[in-house]
Amino acid sequence: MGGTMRFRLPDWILLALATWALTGCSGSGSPPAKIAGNPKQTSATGPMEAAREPETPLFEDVTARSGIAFTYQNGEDVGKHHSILESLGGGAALLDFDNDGLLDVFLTGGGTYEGPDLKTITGLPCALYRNRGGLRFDNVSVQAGVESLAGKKKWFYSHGVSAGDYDRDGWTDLLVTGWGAVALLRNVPVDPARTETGRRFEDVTDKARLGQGINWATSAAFGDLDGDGYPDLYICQYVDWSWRKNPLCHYDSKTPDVCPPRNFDGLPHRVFRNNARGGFDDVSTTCGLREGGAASSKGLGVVVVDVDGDTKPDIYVANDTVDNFLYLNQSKPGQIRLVEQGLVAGVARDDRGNANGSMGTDAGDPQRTGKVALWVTNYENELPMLYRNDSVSNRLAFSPFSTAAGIGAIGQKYVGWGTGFLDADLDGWEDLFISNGHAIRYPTGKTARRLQEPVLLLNRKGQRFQEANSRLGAYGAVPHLGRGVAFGDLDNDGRVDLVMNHMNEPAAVLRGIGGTGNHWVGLSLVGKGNACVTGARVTWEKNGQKQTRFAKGGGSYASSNDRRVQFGLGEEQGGVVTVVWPGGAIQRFENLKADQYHRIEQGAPATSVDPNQRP
Amino acid sequence: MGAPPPSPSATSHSPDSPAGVWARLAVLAGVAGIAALAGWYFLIPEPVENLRKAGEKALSDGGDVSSIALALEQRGRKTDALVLRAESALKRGDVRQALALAESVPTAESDGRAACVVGEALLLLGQASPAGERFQFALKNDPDNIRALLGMAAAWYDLGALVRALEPAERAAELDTRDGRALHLLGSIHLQLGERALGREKLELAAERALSPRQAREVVRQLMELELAEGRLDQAEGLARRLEGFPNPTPQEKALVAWLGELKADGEPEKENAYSALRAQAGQDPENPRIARWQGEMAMRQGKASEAVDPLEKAVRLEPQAMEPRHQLAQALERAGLRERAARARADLAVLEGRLKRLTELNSQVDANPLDPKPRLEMSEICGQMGRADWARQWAESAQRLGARAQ
Repeated sequence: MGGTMRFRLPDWILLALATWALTGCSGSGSPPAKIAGNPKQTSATGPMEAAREPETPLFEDVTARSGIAFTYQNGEDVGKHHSILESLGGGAALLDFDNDGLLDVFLTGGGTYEGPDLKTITGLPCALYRNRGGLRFDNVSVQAGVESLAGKKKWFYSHGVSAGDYDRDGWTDLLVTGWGAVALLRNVPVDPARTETGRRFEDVTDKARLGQGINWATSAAFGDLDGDGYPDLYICQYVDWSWRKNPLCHYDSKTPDVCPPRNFDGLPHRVFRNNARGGFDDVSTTCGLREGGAASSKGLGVVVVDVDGDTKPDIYVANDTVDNFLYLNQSKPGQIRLVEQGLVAGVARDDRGNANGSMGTDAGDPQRTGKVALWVTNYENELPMLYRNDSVSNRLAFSPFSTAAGIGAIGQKYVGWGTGFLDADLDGWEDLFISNGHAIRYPTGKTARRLQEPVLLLNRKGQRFQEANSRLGAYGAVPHLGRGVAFGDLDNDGRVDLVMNHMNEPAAVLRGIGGTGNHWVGLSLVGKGNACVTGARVTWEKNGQKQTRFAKGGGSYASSNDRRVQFGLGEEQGGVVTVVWPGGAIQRFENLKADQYHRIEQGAPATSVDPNQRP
Repeated sequence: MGAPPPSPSATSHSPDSPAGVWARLAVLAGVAGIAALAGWYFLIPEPVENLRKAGEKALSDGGDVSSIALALEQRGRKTDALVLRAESALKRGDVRQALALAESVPTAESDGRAACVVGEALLLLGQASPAGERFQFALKNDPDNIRALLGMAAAWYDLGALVRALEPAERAAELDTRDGRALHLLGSIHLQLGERALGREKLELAAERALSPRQAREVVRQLMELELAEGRLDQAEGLARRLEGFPNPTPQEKALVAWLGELKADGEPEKENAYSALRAQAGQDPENPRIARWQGEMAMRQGKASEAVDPLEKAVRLEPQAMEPRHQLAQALERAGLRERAARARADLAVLEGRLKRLTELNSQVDANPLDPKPRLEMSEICGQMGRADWARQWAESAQRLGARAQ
């Protein structure tokens, strides 16, 4: 998007010109050389080739039979405003809202414009799909009360969603983000006297004191920052856009298009401390957050995870075109204190020292070091960045690893949004998925297109990632206008499934079908008294092999994932599972049965979940 | 012209027969014709166009052009003779002589070629701004002058106006679809802008077109660096094999091979070997900013933060205008436990970032108001603060010229 000017001595240009001068104006003279062979041609026997496997699909598009028929809309065809509001899109949440053991799907609806000048920004309804097993879903939006907000008020223009049990009642609640507002939806019984009538959501935003001071909320994440067991809330805010600050932008000097974020000031993000009384206190100005401004704080993605291993969850934030944040958690019970260390730790910028247009993010352990690696998706002409954790003793240090890991091989043509680690082939090495789609309407670069294919990167034993888009099945062969993606096991078969909430294109459901013959074990972590477990870390060990998974809040883009953790075991079974809970308590479990989920409650023995998954 | 040689049947005629007389006459006529042709060849002056072509051939063959220039002068083509001599001087590397000769072409007779030679000589002397004016002059006369378009692009490039360099380079690439030089330039500009995908596309296209052997080698080297930067080891390996086909590998090329070796290494000993090989090349070419940066980067990748500091400091010194080595230096210092120096390096980086941002804004202002010397003066000041006295001087000179014109 214009880019900052960079200088470098043009030594070769002078040589080139001198060479030109030798051959004269007509171009005649000594016969010019052509480079022997085709530089695009690749080695037939390189290491990547050797790693190739049969191209069996790892995912199957089951959207058509799933019953999920929903389209997020951004309103771009109404009013033709080309506003930056239209660029962000929406997300999805996977949550078991009725505690029937099956993940349900919540999708944000976006918005449109109304009024005589088509400048009244209004929302479109979100949707909740209940999982009735077999990857079939029923739209229960009306029954569950998510077709509108409190008092039948219409939805605001929505983007993201985060799931968490903010009141520790054992039922998962929702926070929806959007332009000018957020909504806290509390999970309550339809009829408190008759529990069999099911669950619904009640808009308690104002009661919970979350209704004030939101300008433009994008992604959000729950996590118990102050260690009191109640999940606090981090809300990313984007930029200071409104109709009064809505410049006209072009990329080819004539066609109107969405303005870049550089044209706007970043908004300060928000942190709300859960007061354990059903509400939140806004601690944004006292907890150590960075301020907004032209060169700061244009937040789009957030993941809450214990980055430095002190058993407290930290916060990594993907910001658009400005430095990403790494907030280390130095809170005490009742007092949230965050210290931003992104630049110092090496996760604020890319390997060239540039702040990227970052959108989605996640944390994982793709090299099996036991330490958190951070991952962020970026704009075109940039690379998605994998930051390897090189921390030693108390010094937190990350190194860019995308190049050495071969991730650069996917090129810089993508605009990446929803993303996450997942073990698609259950081989015990975390792979990566990215949903792509351009932010602007009319991309001008010759390699840039608005609709883009997703990317699957398979992890080759922690050393290399190999592009495996062809293994995404039919879905991967077609470009999409990708935005939020939620990751979770919808059919409880141990394979992570994906729900994509595209922009102006129907949402899609991909069923994970990889890793045939490989074993797995899944864990559902439950804190004492339903305390928030974000920040916990779980290891699986056997025969010198060790894998680590992290209990995370947020992640991906504008979306909320299955909070269970899965280990792909390959041919192994059994092993030792160790859970380090937030605060440091440790529990060990031996020989958990493979190929099923186990409920791990803090301080209690593990309980196998019925393989039929209808507890 | 001339009758065909007599057929065996014709020679059977008696010499005195009518057929024999006709045959003798025909032979005589043939001889006379050949003689006339020879006379024309040796006596009639060579056309100017032929002399020009002969001059171009001599230039490209490295031959002496003085006799051809003399012949041109004798035919009253002083300008052509001067330009030919200037081109020859440029080719010999006698840039000042080339400049003096080309500049002595009278303005009224000056054509695009003379302007291009002056522009190229000025570029080689590091004077991009006046060089750009000469190329602009040539383009006024002929907007499709490929040589001037390339020169214009190079002048903008030298002045750091990368985005502005794109347009003339793209036009040159469109005009000559066989020549790879414009695409090579375009690829390099895109890489400088951080647009790797476009850079790769242009360089690959350049490689399919005609290039001098030196440029062909440069394109392979650039592509290999790009593949390594993006972690495409298969492609980098293929390009390394192509580089092997060129004689006398440079330290920079050897350093790239070491980098590839490190990325392909399975174990620590191989990585250590690659690091040693890269350090050896840094010793061979100690003032190469790229090798210094790669050495620092490799040290960082291998967890040797303390060892990364020196080469990265050198890279910063050699390329004071580049963000990457400063960013990496700050990281290395942080990891080496030198936190105060790391904080200073980060502060320096922030200052540089601010200056680059301001330069980008000023570049737009120069674009919008090309006759206004003010933004050029500020650019000169900032370039000086960035440690690039050469660019500072060029922007200052261009501002002064505009100021003088306004008066």
